[in-house]
Parts: sequence; structure tokens; C-alpha cells
Amino acid sequence: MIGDGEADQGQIWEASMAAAKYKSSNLTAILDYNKYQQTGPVDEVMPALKPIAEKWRAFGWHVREIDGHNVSEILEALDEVRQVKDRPQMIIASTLKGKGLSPFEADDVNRKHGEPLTEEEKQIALAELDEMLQRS
Amino acid sequence: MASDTRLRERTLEELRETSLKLSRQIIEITTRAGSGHPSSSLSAIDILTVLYFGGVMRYDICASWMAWKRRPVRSVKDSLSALDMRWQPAWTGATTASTS
Repeated sequence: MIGDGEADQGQIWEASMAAAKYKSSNLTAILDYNKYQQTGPVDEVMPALKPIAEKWRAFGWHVREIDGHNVSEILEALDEVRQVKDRPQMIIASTLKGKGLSPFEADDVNRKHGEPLTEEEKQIALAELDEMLQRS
Repeated sequence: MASDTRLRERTLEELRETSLKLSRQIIEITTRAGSGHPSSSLSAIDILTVLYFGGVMRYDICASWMAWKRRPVRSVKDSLSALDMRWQPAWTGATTASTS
């Protein structure tokens, strides 16, 4: 499991090259593509991360893109990549930081990266989560 | 393999409900601690729920870290507060959390 901000870092690409070289088919990486990192939107901090799927394909990985909040899609993707026997696999999961929770969504800078909610914000977020639980 | 089969029986609805309950915990513990990365934990919670409650990660709840048949690999992402691997044995019902 890796992050998109984390993919700015060199060790991710070193490992990606090595895994492809050794045809590490027993390695499945899941990228939590939530679009925000500590200092701002990933697109602004490191624009060259895009096109993200093409990069891992070019590195010799099997790539699958999914909605990272859809449990059915996540299971399907994991089943699919398990069939790949000649290369490592990258599942690029598009996600949101604090999906449906207004205290996080209100922050346009970095979706409160590394910042716990205040007591007041916590009550709002928990009420919103409870509403989702009741609907589920 | 028995635990694997049992976990597979969780329905998609149950997985969604589990994810929402864990999301509650992420918010509770990070606010209480006044520290941590709740938003980065929440973005990954559906994925982590599928991995650990959807029968994907195979493990023996009584065995050590090395006994995982599909082993999680730690990264910067995993070390974030509520997603820390040391929490996960507790989430999944294991009583031993010898993950260093």
C-alpha cells in the first residue's frame, strides 16, 4: 500500500524497476490516489506524476485503475491481478480524503492532511458517518 | 484456510458497514490523541477493510507476523496513524500483534 505523495520519492521508482526486473508476480501494490499531500494538491506539488498509470505500465507492471471506495471493485481488481503470473501489479485506487465528511472536504489546501479534527469538527464528522451507517 | 473461508462470507454490505465503523474509530482516536493523519487514513479505509475483512490477506491469528501467507509490506503510507500495521491484528481479531 503506497500513497500518491509518497510516489514523489525515489525509493518507489527504484523498487518499481527492481520488481519488474525480477518479474515479481507475487507483489501487488495498491496506490491510494487521494490527490492531496502535505503541502497541497499532488498535481501542483509534483505535476510530472501524471500520467500515473502509463508510468507504471512503462516500468513493466500490470496496471488496473479502480474506484478505491467501491468494495466490489476492489475485490474484483484483487482477483484479476492474482491471475497475473509474469510481472508485478499496480492497482491505482482513486479515493477522497474524508469522503462525504464536511470538515475534510471544506479544506481546499490539503484536505486536513496530518491534522486531527477539533472536538467540534469531530462531532460533525461522526454525525455524518452515523447517517451513512443508517443508510447502509 | 478456515479463517479465509469465514472472512469470504462477509457480504459487500457488511464490508461497507465495517469500513464506516473503522472510519469512526480513525476520527475518535486521532482527535483524542491530538495527532495523526485521519484524512489519509480515511482515503484508504475501504481498501484496508477489503484486504483484512474481505478474505484477501491470509493469516493465522495465533501465529506470528512471519506466518502471514499474503504478507503486507510497510510503506510511508502504512505508517500513518490509524492505518499503522500494528493496529490491524487488533482489527481482525488477532490477539498477538508481534509486528515489530
